Amino acid sequence: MKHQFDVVVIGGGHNGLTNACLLAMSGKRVVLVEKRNDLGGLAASIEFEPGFKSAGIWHETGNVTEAVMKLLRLDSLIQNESETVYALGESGRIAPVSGPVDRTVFGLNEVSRADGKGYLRYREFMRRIRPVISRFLTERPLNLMAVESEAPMELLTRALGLRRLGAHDMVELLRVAPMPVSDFLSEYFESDFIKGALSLNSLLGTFAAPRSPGTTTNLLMHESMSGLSIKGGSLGLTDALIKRARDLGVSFRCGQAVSRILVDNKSVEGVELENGDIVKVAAVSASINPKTVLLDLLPVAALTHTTADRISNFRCNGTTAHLLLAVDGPVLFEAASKDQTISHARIAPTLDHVEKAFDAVKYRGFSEAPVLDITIPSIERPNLAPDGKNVVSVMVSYAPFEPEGGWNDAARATLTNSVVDVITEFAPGFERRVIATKLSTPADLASEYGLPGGHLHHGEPGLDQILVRPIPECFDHTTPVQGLTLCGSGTHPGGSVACMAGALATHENLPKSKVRSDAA
Amino acid sequence: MVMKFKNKPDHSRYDVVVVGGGHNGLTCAAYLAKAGKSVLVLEKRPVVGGSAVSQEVFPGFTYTVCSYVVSLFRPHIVRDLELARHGLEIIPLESSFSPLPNGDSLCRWGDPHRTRREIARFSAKDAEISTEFSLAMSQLARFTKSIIDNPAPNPASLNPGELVQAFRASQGLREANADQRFTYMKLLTMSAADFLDQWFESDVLKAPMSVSGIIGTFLGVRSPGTAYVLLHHYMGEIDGAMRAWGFSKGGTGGISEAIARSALSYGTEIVTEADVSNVIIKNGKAMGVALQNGDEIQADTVISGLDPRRTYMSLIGEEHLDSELTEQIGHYKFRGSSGKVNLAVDKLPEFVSRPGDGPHLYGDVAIAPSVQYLEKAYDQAKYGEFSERPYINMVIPTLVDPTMAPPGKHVISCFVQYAPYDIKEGASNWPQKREAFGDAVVDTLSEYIPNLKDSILHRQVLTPWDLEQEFGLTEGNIFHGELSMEQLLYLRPAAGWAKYKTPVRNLWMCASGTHPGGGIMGASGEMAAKAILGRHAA
Repeated sequence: MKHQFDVVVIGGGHNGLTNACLLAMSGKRVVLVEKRNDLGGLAASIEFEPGFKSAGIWHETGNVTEAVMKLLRLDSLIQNESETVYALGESGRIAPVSGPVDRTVFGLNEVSRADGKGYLRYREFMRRIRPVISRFLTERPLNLMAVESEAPMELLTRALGLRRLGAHDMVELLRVAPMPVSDFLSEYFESDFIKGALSLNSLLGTFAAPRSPGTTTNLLMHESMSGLSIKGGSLGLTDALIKRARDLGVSFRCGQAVSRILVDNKSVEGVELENGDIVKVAAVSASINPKTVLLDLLPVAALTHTTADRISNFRCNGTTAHLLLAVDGPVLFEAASKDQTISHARIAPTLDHVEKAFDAVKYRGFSEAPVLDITIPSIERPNLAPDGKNVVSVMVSYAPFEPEGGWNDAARATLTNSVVDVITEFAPGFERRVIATKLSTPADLASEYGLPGGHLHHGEPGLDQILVRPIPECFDHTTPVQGLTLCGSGTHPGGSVACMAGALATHENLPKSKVRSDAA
Repeated sequence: MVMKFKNKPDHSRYDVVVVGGGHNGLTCAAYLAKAGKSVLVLEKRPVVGGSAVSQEVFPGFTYTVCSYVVSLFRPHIVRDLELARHGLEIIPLESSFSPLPNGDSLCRWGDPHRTRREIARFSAKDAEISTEFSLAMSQLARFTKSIIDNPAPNPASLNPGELVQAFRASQGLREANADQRFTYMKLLTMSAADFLDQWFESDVLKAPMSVSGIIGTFLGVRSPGTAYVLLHHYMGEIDGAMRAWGFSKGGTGGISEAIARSALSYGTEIVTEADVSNVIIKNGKAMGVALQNGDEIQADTVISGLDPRRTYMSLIGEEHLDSELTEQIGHYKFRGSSGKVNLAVDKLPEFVSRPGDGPHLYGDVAIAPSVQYLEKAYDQAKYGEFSERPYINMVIPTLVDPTMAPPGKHVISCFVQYAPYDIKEGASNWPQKREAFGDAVVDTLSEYIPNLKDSILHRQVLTPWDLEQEFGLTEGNIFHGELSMEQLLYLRPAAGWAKYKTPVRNLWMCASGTHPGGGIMGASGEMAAKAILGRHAA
C-alpha cells in the first residue's frame, strides 16, 4: 500500500483535533482515527435521553490561551469574559467565586467583607504570577532530569523569567506551590463554603483532597490562567476545531480504534485498525493516554524494561463520576435571587466536607454526601433540551474506579440518589423534576472514553507527574520510538480543555520557526 | 544520675546568652565556647536537654520522656565536641519489628540477608527487589547529606556567597545521573505509600517502611511529600561513624548531658530554672535578656533555642517586627500530631507473634500492620480526634541500659501518632482525654502483647497539650514546626530569615525551627554557631 498519509493522529478529543489541525497547516496529510462515533472526546455532546443532549463532560474553556487559538487561527472565538461560578453554602449562603472580578468581589462582600478583600488579593497574586505559569504551560518543557542537555541561554532566559517576578513574589510562589490548597485558601478566605468551592479548581478529577500537599500548584495553574473563554463553551470549541480540521483537509475515521502501532527497528511504520486495515505512515501522534499508547499499542520489544516499568507506574486513579440529568423546568437554587440565573454552581460546603468525601475513595468507597460541580448547559444552549426542560451535568467527587463489590446496580443507584439528594437540599423540589439520569462512573469513563483508571486528566496531576509528564523518556512529547509522538493530556502540560498538549507536541513534528510564522 | 546545674549565673554579662538548653542550644553553646566566647545557657526547666531528656518520673524508673531515639546525629559534631569523651554512647537499633494482628510478624534486621529472608515469607518479588531498593536509596542519601550539612541557600538572592552555598548544597544532585534525579524528584514530591507501591507489593513491608515519612508531621502516608524521609534511613551508611538510628546510653537525656559536659568543659555556664521572659532590644539590636524574676543579663549576642513562634512573638515581640514578617510567622504551622506513652513494667512484653525474649525486642517495634491502618489513623485525626488505633513506635531502653529500671523491671517508651493538638473539644481539654488516649494506646498494644496490661506498674501519658505546657513545644510539635515543604530549607522559619539570623541585630536562632530542623541531629545548633562565628559565606 502506498503512503496516502503522512501522519495518523489517534484520538479526536480537543488535543487530537488541535494536533491534527496544526500538522495539516504545516502541509502534512493527516488522518485522524477516533474510536467513538463522534469527535470531541470528553468535550463531545451525547444524547443521553431522547431530546436531551449533553455538552460533554468537560465544560470549562476558561484555561484556553490566546497563543494556541491564534496558532489555530481560531482567535475570533475567544471572548474576554469568564463564566460565573457560584458557591452554595449551608443555611442559604451563596456567593460567586469566579467571573468578572468586580462583580465577584461585590457578591463576596455580601457574605463577608474579609472574603471580598481576600478575593482581590487572591486575584492580584494570580495576575502577578501569570507570566511564569503561562510560560511553563505554553512553552516546550525543559528536560529537568538532565538540565545540562538544555542550552545555557534557554535555561538563563527561563530563570530570568522567574526572577522577573521580583524576589518577594518568587519566594512566595515557591513557598505556596507545594502547599495543600486548604492552607493556601485559608491565607486568603474565611468562609468555608467559598474555600470549598475554590478548592475544586484544583481538585476536580484528581486523587487529592484539600489537605493534600501540592494541590496549590494545581490551583495556581488553573486560576492564574483563567480569564478568557470560548464562545459556545467546550462544544463551540469542538465544533470549531472539527470545522477547521475539515477545511484543512484532515481525513477522519470515526468508530474505528487503533489496535496496534506497527514498529520496525525502533521507527513507526504505520498503524493497524481493529478491523484489520493497515495505514502505512512514518509518524503517529497519539492524543490518548500515554499508558495505553506505550503499553497496549506498541510491541513489547519497542520499550526497555525501565521505560515500561516507569509508564506502568504513571498514576491514573480516577476519582470522579459524571451524572447527566434530564430535568423538567428550571433548576431553582433556594439561595439565588429571582434575577440570578445560575448555570454553574458548586456544592462543597466546607473543606472538611471535601476531605471526607475523598477519604471514602481511598478505601474504595464513595461518600454519601458527595461534592458537586453542577453545570446547566441548556441555559446557554437551549437546543440541548426540549422546550421548558433542562440538562444538568454534574461532576461528582469522589467516586472510586472500582468500589468494594463493584459498580452493581445498587451502587449506581446509591450514588445517583445521593447526588439528587444533595442538589435537592439546595434546590427544593429538584428530585421531583428529574426525568432521566445517566451516570458515568470512573469505570464507565474508562470503557466509554478509553481512559485508563477512568482518570479525566489522563493521569494524576501530582507534582511529580506535572514536572515530568508522563515519564522522563517522553518529557517533550517524543517517545523512544522514532516517529511516535504523544499529544494528549497525559503529556506536558496536562489536562483541562486548553488544547495545549496537542499544540506543544507538534513542535517535534514541525520546525519551530514554521509554527511561529504560522502564528504571525 | 541526672546532672544538676546552678540556678544563678556567675556574671551579669556574657559574650553570648543562649535561651533554652535543648540539644541544639547546648550544641550551639559548646561550639561558641570552644571558639573562645563566654557563653551562658539559660534553661527554664530543672534539667537540660529540652525534649532530649531522661527523667526519673517514678522512683527507680528513668524514662526517655519525649524524644526516644537518636536520629542522624551529625557524626562530625561528635568529633568536634569530643562527645565520646564526655560519655556519649550510641547503641544502634538492632532491628525493626512489626507484629501483625493475624499472629504473624515481620522483622527487619541490621543484616540485609536476614531481612531479605524475612521479606521473602511475604513476597519473593519484594525480597528480590529490596537489595536494589536499598542500593538506590543509599546512593540518593548523599544528596540529603549535602543538604542537611549546609545552610539553605536562598533562591531569591544573587549574592555570590549564596551562589557558592547553593553550589555546595546541590553537589550531590549535580553528580547524579538522570535516573537518580528522577527517583529523587519522586521522593521529594510523592507520598511514601505511592512511592513504595512502585517498588513493593507486600503491605506488611510497605506499612512499617512508610511511617518514617509521617513521624511528627500532620500528614498521612498517602500525603504527597512524605516519601522523602525514607532516605534518612539510609543516611547511616553515608555517615559512616554510626548507624542512623540508635539509643543513647541513659536514654536520650544521655546525649544532652554529654553535650552539656562538653560545653561546660569549654567554659560554658549552664543555669537551670531560669525562665527568660524576653530579649532586651534597643534600637533594633539585642542587648541581653530579661528573666521572669526581674534579673537582666547583658550579652553581645543572644541566641534563641526556642521555636519560631516563641522566639518571634514572645522573646522579640510583635512591636519589633514588620507586618509582613509577623504575617509569615503567623502562617508558620505547628499542628502537633503525636503523643508519648511511657510505661514501667515488671515483665518484658510477650508478643503473640514472637513469644519470649529475643533480639526482636532490642530494636524498635512498629505497630503499623497495613497502609490502610495508618491512613485511617490519620483520617480520624484530621477531624480532631486521636486515633483509636494509632501508629505506635515502641522501644525498650532498659534492654540496652538496664540501669534505667530496678533489676528485672523495664521501661517502655511508646511514640504515638496521631494525637492532634487541636482536638475538636479544644486543645485545653486534652487533660480530660489524656487517660482515654493512654487507654487506646495500651489497648492497641495489648492486641499484640496480651501480657502487657498486667505487667504495667506505672504509666505516663503525654498529649500534645502536655508537650506544649511542660516542654515549651508550641502546639506540641516535636520538630518546632511542621516539616512540610513550605517550611523547609530557605523558608524555615520564614523567607529571608532562614540563616539563623533574625531582623533583630545580634539575635539568632539555633533550634529545630531553623534549617535543617527535626530530630536529634544537632545540625541546626552547629550551623547557627558557625553562622555567628562567620564561618559560612554570607
